Amino acid sequence: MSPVPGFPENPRWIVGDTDVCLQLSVLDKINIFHALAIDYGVRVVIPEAVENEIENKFQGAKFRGHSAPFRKAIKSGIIGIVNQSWIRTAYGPDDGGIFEEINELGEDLYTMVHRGEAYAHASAIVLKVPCLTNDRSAVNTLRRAGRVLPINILRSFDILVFGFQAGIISIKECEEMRATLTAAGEGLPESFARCSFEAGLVNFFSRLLDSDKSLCGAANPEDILDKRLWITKTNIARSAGPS
Amino acid sequence: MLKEILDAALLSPEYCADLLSVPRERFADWTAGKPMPKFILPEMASILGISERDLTSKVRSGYVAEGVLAPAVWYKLRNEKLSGTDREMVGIIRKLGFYMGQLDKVRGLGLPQYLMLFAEVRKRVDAAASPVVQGQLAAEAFRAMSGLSKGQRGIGEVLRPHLRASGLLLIESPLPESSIEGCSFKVDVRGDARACLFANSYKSTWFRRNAVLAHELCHAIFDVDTEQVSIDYLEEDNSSLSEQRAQAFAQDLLVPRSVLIHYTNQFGVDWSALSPSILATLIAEIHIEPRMLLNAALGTGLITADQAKANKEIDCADALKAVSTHALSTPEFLAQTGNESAKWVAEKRTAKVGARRLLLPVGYVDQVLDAVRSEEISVGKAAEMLMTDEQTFIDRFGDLVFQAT
Repeated sequence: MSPVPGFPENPRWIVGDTDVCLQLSVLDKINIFHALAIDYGVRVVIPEAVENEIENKFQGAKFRGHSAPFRKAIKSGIIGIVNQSWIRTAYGPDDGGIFEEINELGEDLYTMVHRGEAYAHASAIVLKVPCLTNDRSAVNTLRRAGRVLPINILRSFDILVFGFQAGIISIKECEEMRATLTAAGEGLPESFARCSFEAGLVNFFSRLLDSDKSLCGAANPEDILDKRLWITKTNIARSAGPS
Repeated sequence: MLKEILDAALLSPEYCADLLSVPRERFADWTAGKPMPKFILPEMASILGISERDLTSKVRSGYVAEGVLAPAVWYKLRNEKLSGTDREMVGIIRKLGFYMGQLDKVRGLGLPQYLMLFAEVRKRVDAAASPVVQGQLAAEAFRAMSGLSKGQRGIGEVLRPHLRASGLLLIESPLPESSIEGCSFKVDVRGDARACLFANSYKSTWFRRNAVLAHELCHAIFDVDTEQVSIDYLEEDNSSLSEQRAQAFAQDLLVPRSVLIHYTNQFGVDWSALSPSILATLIAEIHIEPRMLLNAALGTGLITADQAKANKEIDCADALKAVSTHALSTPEFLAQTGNESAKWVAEKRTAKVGARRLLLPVGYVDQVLDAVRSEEISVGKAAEMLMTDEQTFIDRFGDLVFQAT
């Protein structure tokens, strides 16, 4: 049940894709995932295919040396891995074949989109939770094929803006992250492509926001995928206590 | 059982890890007996040519003779004439087959047409006939049923697109350290097997490869169903039934009597006094190498055995370059045509797995680009299908893909 009457419950999980987890690991901002899990009860989970892809990318020159935040998050359970035992823990022994369903859908979507992306979408769809992905091309492909999409599609910058709005990271950190991603040649949302974080924020429709904080970013959606997910702090004790 | 399968197939775990895009340490864990995640099983099973069930089963205790656990296709590739490079190239080709199957599925393509054609060709050949007669009958049937007989012309330029359009997987790529000249085998595509013809393009001419592909086509029609893989080595003289049949098939497919007579009449060829320029013209028009042309002329009775032997000494290399761009080396071709397109295409379609490189078929690259343009597949998937990373894909094809979308 939602802690705030009238608001829907926070999703229990958000399924993460490779690019977003890699970007946040490179930026050393996985602490936002930590806050999401502890304060909001929303845990980021990744399918095995995504975890494999991320680990494989850490072997390459571009991401070598950036694995520590990610591995720490996996080890501490801040990021969960969607596998058979995780499903059993989350749904109990009578899970209705959820894991098989994810794998079947993942294998099917894998004909159209990259492996990690396929299993991330499949997990989000079967678990009926948001998907965290920057791959617009994959989303367009699935839409064109008439496939069901995850209930919400969130991007790296939705996480950053949420982190800023929720007071987890400062605007200075956001700008540093924007600059780092730009320098690394990572694709940025149009709003932030040619201006500072602060300047771009007014035009950015954030798809993930804390319902107890004041609105951050653009008020009106611009994209067909701009569907806002409001979440509420569930760990009141922690929010009331010292940070 | 993964370790036992890889050992038997003489495949290195490191290479397999690269082939499957998984970290090497992770793959090592799997070979040590750690359970494999489900997402990897369909792809691994397809590339290794083994069922998912066998892949995840335990080895029965007791003595297991060396090599017996290798899937059929890999068992044959244990041959001592083959190197690790050869086996690794086969691995990439099998991965390519896996992606081609995915592409067919996305594009809604059904069973490849060649299956019916092959069955019909086999039906028309008397298995009791001599291998040469079998090859000749099969070639005649194949030409007639696939429309290649029309016009009585050389078919080298239409053979490749024709075979690809029928659903065969056709790959020509250089294997510098290999003794393989050509091979045919099956790759798993969506649970179905698809025939793959491979020709080693290293130090080989386009004319020679026409013969190699035609030869492998015959193996694909008759032998691959039962033998899983057929391999032809450079400088090999094999008198087995299947080789004799494939040799006769290749010759009659590329240069049947009617085509030879047609060009003899058209150019007024005096076979008893062949000049380098006439020989070059015939080769350029019929699209075959000199040896096969002279053998065909001998078989047709246009020349005697002594004349054939003497004509084999004619050096027509320079004359051939003057009448056919297929005879030019890549630098010569680029210098003559004055554009960089061939080089551009070659660079763009190189796939890399570990240290191995494979030149992807042009038709396949075009299909992937078409599919991404029409948003049937994502950009990331297109990069994956071309065995490169997304940034390299965008660098190589961004202009072509994003202009249209």
